[in-house]
Amino acid sequence: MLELKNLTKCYDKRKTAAVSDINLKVNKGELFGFLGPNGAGKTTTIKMITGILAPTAGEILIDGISIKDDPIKYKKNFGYVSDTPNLYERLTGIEYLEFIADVYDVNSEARKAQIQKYGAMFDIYNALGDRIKSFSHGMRQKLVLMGTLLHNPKLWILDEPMVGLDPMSAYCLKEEMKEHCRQGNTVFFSTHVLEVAEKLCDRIAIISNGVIVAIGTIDELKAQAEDGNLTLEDIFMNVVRRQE
Amino acid sequence: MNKFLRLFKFKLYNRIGLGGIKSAFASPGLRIKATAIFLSVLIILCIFVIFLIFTMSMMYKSFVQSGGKDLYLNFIFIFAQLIGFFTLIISSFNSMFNSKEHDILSSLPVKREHIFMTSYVELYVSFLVSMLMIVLPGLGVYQYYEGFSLTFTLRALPGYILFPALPATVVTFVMFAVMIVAGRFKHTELISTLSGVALIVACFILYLSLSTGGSSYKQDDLAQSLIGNSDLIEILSKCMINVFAFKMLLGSVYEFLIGAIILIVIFATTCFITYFAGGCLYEKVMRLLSSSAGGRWTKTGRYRKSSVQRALIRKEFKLLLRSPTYVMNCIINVILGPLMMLIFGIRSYNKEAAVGEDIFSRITVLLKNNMNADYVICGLITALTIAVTAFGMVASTCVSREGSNFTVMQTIPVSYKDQIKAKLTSALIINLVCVITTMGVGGVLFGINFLPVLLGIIICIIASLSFNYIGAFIDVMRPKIYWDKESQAVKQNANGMISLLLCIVLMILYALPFALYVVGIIDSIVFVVVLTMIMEVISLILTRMMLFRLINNKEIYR
Repeated sequence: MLELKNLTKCYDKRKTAAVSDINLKVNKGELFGFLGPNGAGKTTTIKMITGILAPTAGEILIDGISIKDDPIKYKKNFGYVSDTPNLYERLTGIEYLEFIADVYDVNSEARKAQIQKYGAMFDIYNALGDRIKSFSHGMRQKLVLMGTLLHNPKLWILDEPMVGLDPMSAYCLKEEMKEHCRQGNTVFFSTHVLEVAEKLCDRIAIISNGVIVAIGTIDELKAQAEDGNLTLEDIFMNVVRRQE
Repeated sequence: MNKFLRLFKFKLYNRIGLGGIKSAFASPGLRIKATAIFLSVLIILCIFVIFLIFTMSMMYKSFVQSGGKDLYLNFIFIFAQLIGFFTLIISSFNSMFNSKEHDILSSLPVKREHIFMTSYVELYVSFLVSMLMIVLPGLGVYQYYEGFSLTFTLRALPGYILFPALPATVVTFVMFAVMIVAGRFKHTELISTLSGVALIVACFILYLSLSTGGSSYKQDDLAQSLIGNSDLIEILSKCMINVFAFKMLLGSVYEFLIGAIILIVIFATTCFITYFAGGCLYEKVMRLLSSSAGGRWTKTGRYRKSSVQRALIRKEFKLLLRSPTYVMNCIINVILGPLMMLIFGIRSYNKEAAVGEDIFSRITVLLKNNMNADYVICGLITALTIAVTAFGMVASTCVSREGSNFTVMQTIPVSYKDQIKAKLTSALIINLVCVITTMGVGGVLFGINFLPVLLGIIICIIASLSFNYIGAFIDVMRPKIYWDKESQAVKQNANGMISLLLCIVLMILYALPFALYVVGIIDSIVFVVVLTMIMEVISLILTRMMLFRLINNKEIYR
């Protein structure tokens, strides 16, 4: 579903690459966790996947479509939840969702059904008539999540999605991520909460200093560490320290 | 006091971007860009000051001719007061009622009076700057004709500093009242925006009532028309106590002392009232505004599918019209254009018996033997309308206004080109409204035939399209997307200024054939219209090409 080939990003005037020669393949129906310490290159990678940043080198494919060849078709395949919920504050929640639905060409019936479903799930339906300006951080995060699910994306990309969510909504989100994969779609998300990653993910990649230092299922990572009793936290600490 | 000064310094750095300006000039990579922007701003300022000096000089001569240097001084101070009011009303929405900044600052161990006073001082300074833009050239012209005097210059100094105290306080409390009333309704922002627009329009009408005679281009006629306004100027100068006191500063020693005492008393009283009553009221208003922000706006969704372009245009309009800052800075010209025409037109009707006292009717008389007098008046209205549309900042801040939502623009499956097209369409619609209403009002009131009005509208629309392309070009090239407050995206954005400068150059170019016709170098009005249109179409094609080439280069993936 998602393929990164020799992906590199160097910011201007910096000698070291923020992301260096990453090769990664995320399969259809997979829930993929992207872990790494602060400044490791997680957000840079996600920004390149979503088209916010142009890579210095390499190629990105979603469902076989390269972002360079057909950026519009490529972008229709994913939904992106950024690490900060950027929204048009002067619109109401429902106006924002209608705007996103129009942009992603969602028909009237589908958008109504999706808004009612996710509005009830994230307990935000009654607030959708209010201006986004009056929303709390958590409510904004919920609205962004709803917006990205409206067109039922083949690939759901989430950057630190749990930040600001109440326990109930965090639970609902985790369930929705699993459900999204069960429907044959793919989820690619970054997180600092290792317990969440350990419980949820089918496969995990750990990035450090712009390089992927470990990749595989939890069992594969434990096998690589040659210690079956290690937790994901232990593995994470080991590989990151080794890289540093 | 130390905390207050620190807070003020912080806000000054934050708002004016002094830190950013310093670092831009210090950085070798940005120095050239910063210098270019600085020079552009300087050129616009110079053009404005030259225009002011020219106008003031004419006003001075006319006032002398109509028998009163005092009247001239009164006029300058009243004019400065009105311009200052205008600035304060626009600024207060962002300087005072910024809930984001208030939330941050009120969590700090700083007195609420200090938080409020920093905003007040900010308003005070903005009034001072706009006032100096009028008073300095005005008094400069006065001294040029009356002879330079150091005593006169020194006496004016306390006036500059103390003069803004009264208007700044009045506007602050008027805006408090507006916000308290607006905060009680569901559509707080809409009501506060409309109230702000109404106040600006009131200032504008008052100014035009005083100075319509100033649009006359013949000295004798101007002097005659100023006699008609002298009563109003006299009354206003007596009502506005700071104007009265400032003028006294420039008189004899005895008058200077009385004037200084009055200004100091006003300053002390207003500061005292503002500090105690303002600090208390400010807190109440902010609480009221934050509680009203949660009001329900839309009941349910439409759940109706529409095209991407329509969705983008609808979003643009909602974001533009729901923000008082955007309305005041970007689309106020839609109101001011027709209003200006209405006032000129009504005055023209009123003074018809006196063989026309304003510029349009006078030119009609001057060109009574000319078959194309309609075209000449229409040409002037067209030039005025083009100038009004150039002041709109919808296109020149189109990307900057996105701010942190720029990432939304980058990730949605719509090309950058289509998104900019939607923004340009909304700018064009606003310009269309401005052009049609301004030209329409002008055409009806001055009794111009349909054909010249139609030609004028076409010329204005083509010109405004070019202006939009220029504005969008500047903003797409270097958008200002990192901002906390909407005013930073429009008012404190050099893109608007640079775009305006380029539009002025184009305007001069477009006006050239018409100017040659008026002075008699070109005989045929048809030739003027055709030549203007050819120039406009060429610039339209060029600017469009430049913009879309830039957009293609900016698109990350093509």
